Amino acid sequence: MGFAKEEQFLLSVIKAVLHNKNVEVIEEDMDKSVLLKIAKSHRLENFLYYGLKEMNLGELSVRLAKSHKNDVYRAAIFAAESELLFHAFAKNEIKFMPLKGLVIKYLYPHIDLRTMVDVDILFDESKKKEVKKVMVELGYKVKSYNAGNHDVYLKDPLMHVEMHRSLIDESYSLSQYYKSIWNRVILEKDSCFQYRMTDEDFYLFLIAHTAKHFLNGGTGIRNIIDIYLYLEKYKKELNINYIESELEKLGLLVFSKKISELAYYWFDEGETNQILEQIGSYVVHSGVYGNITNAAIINILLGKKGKDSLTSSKIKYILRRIFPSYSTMKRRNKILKKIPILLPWFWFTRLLTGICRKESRIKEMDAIDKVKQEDIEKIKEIREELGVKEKI
Amino acid sequence: MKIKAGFMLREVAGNYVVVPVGEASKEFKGIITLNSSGAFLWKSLLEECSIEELLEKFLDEYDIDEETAKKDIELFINKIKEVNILE
Repeated sequence: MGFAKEEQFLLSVIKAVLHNKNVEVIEEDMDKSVLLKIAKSHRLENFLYYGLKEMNLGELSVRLAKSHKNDVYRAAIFAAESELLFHAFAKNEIKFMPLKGLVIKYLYPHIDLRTMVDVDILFDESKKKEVKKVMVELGYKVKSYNAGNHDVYLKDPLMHVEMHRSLIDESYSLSQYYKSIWNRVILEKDSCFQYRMTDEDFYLFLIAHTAKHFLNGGTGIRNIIDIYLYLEKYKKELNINYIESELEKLGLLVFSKKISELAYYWFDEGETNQILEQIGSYVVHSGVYGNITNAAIINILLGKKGKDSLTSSKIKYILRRIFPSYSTMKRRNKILKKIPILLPWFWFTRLLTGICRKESRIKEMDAIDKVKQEDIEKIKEIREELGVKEKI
Repeated sequence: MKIKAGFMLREVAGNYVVVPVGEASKEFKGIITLNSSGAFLWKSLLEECSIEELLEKFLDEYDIDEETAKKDIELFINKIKEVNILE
């Protein structure tokens, strides 16, 4: 893995935009369609728009202007709808806390630069019925309820709201740390129901969330931008001793250091080294939310025991995908807690759903089939350098 | 006259965007973008306001002659009447 010219250029454009500069030169032999494709895979087309807007780049400029317009509309819709939701939760006396993009977008030079596909809000789990009622009254449709750690609500044309009952799903060991998050939050000024994390806890969550994706399928450039902007804004005020001791507990101290070094190498004056290049390459090739190839490699790696061959590790992983463990199935289908005997039935329905989504299943099987021993070794090396060997 | 309930104006990166929310989003499927003077008129019409009052506010805010202001207001009112969001 290395960096293609277009990938390096995209990173330089992001750096320029973050520092309010325009890019004045683009190499003649730059493949603009490849550049756009990479930016799209990370949802960063708007950075290209702002960075290159003074240049006439023909078709690329036209496409970027169109995508910029869409991002502005999306940002406006998300802002207006979020405000309505906050107001409705407060009116109904529901404790809530906006998460991730809803908070971090204000650190970007323009809020539309921080693209979001959904709105994430943590709420007091004891109020899940009230939340459902509020959402339905506001015109949302229930997509999923009481499964996993969040309920999903949808509204045309593009609202996708994830109402989190807990910060991190129970399938991750990190979830234990966040069970008591409500004991560490602060009420927002002028509000009786809207909460926020302390600046330190917000940074910890940013790292934990990035690690969760990075270590389970990959994470995109956008998360590294989030970390850079957050550190730039708060690094002088953060209680570093507290942060480091908490990161130690989470097993993410080395991860945090390396990821912030990468952020400063890419978007500031930081220096690089071989491991940062490897981590950077992994991020650039992950796409915004990781990809099935990385997920397959990681799961095969984590499921590999002793002298298991690559083929037997792959078969074990495929079986785990078709027949997830009882604890996994129980989290997705709460009724299994009461009636465990229904497990085969839920496996069967899962199989049927899988057959209906034939295309994505074929892609996944193809990705598993293509995993090579050297892919596993590369990811293993990165994880070891980051101090994270086990599933987090 | 007054803007109907169910629309919110948001500024994003120097662009003024009107977004339908709640019940209004079922009837109005589009999005309206405004320039800064359009946004000023929009905000003025969030409360009941006559054409004369609107003109007075507009002339207080912008350094333009009355004739141009009248034309701008007329154009704005016609546009939002077209999409049926004026009470």
